[in-house]
Amino acid sequence: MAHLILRRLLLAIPLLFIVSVLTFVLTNLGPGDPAATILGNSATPESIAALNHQLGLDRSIAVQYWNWLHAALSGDLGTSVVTSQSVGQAISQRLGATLSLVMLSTLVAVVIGVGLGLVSALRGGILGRVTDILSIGGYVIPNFWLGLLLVYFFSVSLGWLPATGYVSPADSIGEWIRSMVLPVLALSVMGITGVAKQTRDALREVMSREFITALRADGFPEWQIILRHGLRNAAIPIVTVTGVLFIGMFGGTVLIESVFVVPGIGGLAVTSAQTGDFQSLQGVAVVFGLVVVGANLAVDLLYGWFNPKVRVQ
Amino acid sequence: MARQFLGNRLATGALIVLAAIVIACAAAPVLTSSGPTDTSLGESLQGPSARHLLGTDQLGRDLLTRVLFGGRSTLLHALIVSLVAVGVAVPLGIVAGYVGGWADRVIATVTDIVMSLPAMIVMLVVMTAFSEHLPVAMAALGLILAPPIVRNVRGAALAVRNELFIDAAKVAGLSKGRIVFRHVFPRVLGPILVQAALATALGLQFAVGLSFLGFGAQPPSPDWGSMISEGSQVLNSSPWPLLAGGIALGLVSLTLVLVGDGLRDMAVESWTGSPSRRRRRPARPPVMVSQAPRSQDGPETEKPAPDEALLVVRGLSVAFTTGGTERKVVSDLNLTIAPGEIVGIVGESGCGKSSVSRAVSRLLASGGEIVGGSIRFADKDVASLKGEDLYEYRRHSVSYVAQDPMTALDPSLRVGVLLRRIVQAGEGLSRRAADARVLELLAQVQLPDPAAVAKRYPHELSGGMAQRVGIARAIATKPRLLIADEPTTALDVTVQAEILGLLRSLQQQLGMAVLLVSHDWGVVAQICDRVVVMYGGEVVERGRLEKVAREPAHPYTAALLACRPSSVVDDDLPLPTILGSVLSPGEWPTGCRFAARCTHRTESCDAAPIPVSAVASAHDVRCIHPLRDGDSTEVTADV
Repeated sequence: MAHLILRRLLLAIPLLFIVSVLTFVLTNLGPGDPAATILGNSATPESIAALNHQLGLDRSIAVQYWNWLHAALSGDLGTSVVTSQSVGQAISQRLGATLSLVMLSTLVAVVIGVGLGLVSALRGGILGRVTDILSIGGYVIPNFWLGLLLVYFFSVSLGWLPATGYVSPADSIGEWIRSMVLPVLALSVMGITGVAKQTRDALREVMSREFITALRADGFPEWQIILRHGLRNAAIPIVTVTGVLFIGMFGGTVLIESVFVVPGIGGLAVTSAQTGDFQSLQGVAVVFGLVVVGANLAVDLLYGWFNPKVRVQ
Repeated sequence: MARQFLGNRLATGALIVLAAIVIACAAAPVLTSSGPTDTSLGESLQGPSARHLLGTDQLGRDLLTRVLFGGRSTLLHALIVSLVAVGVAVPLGIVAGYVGGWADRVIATVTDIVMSLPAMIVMLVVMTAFSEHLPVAMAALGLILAPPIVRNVRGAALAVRNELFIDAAKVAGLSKGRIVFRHVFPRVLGPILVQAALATALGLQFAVGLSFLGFGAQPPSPDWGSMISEGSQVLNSSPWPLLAGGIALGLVSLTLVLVGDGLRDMAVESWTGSPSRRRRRPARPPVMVSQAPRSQDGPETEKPAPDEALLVVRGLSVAFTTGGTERKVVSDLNLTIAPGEIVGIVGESGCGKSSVSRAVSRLLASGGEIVGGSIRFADKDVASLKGEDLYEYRRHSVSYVAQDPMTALDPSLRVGVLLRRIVQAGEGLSRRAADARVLELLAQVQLPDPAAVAKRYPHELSGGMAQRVGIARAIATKPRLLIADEPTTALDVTVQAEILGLLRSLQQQLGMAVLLVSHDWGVVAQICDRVVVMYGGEVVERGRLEKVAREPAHPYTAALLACRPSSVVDDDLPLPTILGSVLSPGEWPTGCRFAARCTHRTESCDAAPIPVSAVASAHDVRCIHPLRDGDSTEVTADV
């Protein structure tokens, strides 16, 4: 177990390094000159050069990266040249909305997905085929397009739910839920079918194992065997797919937050890319890298929780 | 292979639709009467009509025209993603799988890292650098999406490497490069095509998503992403611009996924030689469980009389249904067990003895069913038990000791926790009392340190310890009948004797009956009072152990006895074996099922089913030429 976590953490270092270097190099490759952007039309070549010097942008990429890394390691992600806002501050203001979106979506996907998978593993037949078809649907229909369809039906046509906007739970829990329904639905559909399929396959495999027969011989009721022993032993693939899902949903916020105008970091990434706000983009990329690392670590810890063999080795 | 693909109608249909869409997009300038950017402000935001099949957008541009023209760049981008992903992944996957070693480790680490990259954010970053050069950006996307394909191809290449014909090719002196090209590549082609289809679908989704965010075709020229984006702006007025782009995207993705699925099925079929989709088995009419037993299995001359018996099985038939065909594994079997009696069932593997024990404990594997006869336990009709009655029967009446003690334990639970649950469910004890009872049970099966064992997980036990735990579990709720199915087969010889001794002493302490199933005369001889010999799903001989062992009446019994290592006096002679092998269920002849392997065979053996007859008191045989004294040495053994 300790070995597993250590390996994860060791992999995390090159991962974060690669993400940050990649972002740094690519954003510097792109067109656009931050100083020119700031100074606007009144810029002269001299004033641009002076500002570039002041911002440290006239030094080599390696030096710039080193400076950025140095500051980032002490928690300072720099200041946006475009918005003049501290990147760390901008991210922390928006992280709440993104987290509530992703966490709710994961919760919905796991609860409904496991339930659906459970029923289709035991009853099979039609429900199993429906899950199969839905899972193809989840793969085929992009979540942002589904989100727009939901807006058309539930906001434009029926007028039941707000099309866009985000209300913080600190302001109003009810409005927060109302504002989250459609984005969560759009983001979790793919996850629901993924979890359902994985649950069904894993549970079927576990339920055919010898120890389940032995538990039946003990006289435990079938539902108890399924819930206490079947699901627990099927948990590892379900946890794996949930981890992948969580990371995928974080990426999905980039599109979903744009569709529903949720002020989160996915939307921040899009605006930063569109406006050439490279400092913010860099910061968001690092946060996403950290999310990946954290999610994988959580998955590993859950492996240990569900499988005693992993814990010992 | 192509024929198998065409046999899959869904995949073939999908391929045709996909091809039609691709051709229509490619031929867009010929097919459409207007250009994609021709505006007609008078016809703004119309629904579908004969003139505009998909309607028009805000500027009155024909949506179908824009879908077709937009598809050109969108599909091209998806194709670039797929080509780069597959082009990079295939050589890496083959190297990792076929060459292995450090190359495999390096590639695995790199794919691990790339798979951990947040793809969408990396693509946004890439877009800031290459927004003017979309094909380059799409190639980068291909790199990001390559790792799963690398893993897949690696797996396939590894499987091929482990196969014999590659070894043969190596011996034949082919160079590594030619082996890869001539043997490995064709075999991994299937998975590659599947992955290519899926990568194209994924690339399509990414490309459209990025274009939706503004990183794609710039107005006024269309692609599907920008069309969806424009559609989202006018959603309050008309859904058609949104639908046009989205449906095109969904349709192409769907066809790609279906084609991928078809390719996968095809690959599976051509490698395993079996169709991957099994016919569903038809529902079976309810079993007549209490029908009158037919009397082919004879009068059962032995004691005890059925009314004092604990278990009375009459005319039992068990069948398994796989792939739509039903195979009988047990036919018309009678068995009686008195309270406190130890009965053994002996026979080679495949003779149906485990099916009998599983039918009695109502634990037949899925597909297995009791198709005839009756099983009475005390006053219960076992075959018809349902729900809580069935659970109660399994809890208190019969218990089951499995063959492989390790796999019978829930791997995620400490031994003590599992036993506690069993004790609590069976006796309704408090947690504390149940824990005490668990320690008592573990001591009863002579485990040296019960408290320590209770804290262990199954994988921390030895085979012998696990089987002791299995026995503790079986006696936890004081059953009246303990069924042990090959309880010692998976164990070391030294442990075998200990476990049998333990079973015997527990049987005496607790006064329960035991049904022991084994292929091994030695095991049965050690503890059983009576023995039942099975062959081809039916009883061929039964009686008291001493009688059957000393004076076997059925040639099969005699042959089984002769095959015991202990029965061979002269160490220099090879061990005797019975010629031929057990008939598979379903191949049973009308007459004697052992006839094909029997040296006493006559024409009348094959003429009709052989009835059971008594050779002595409490000794029955299913043979028309039963062996007499002195015959038993002259068996079918192949010495």
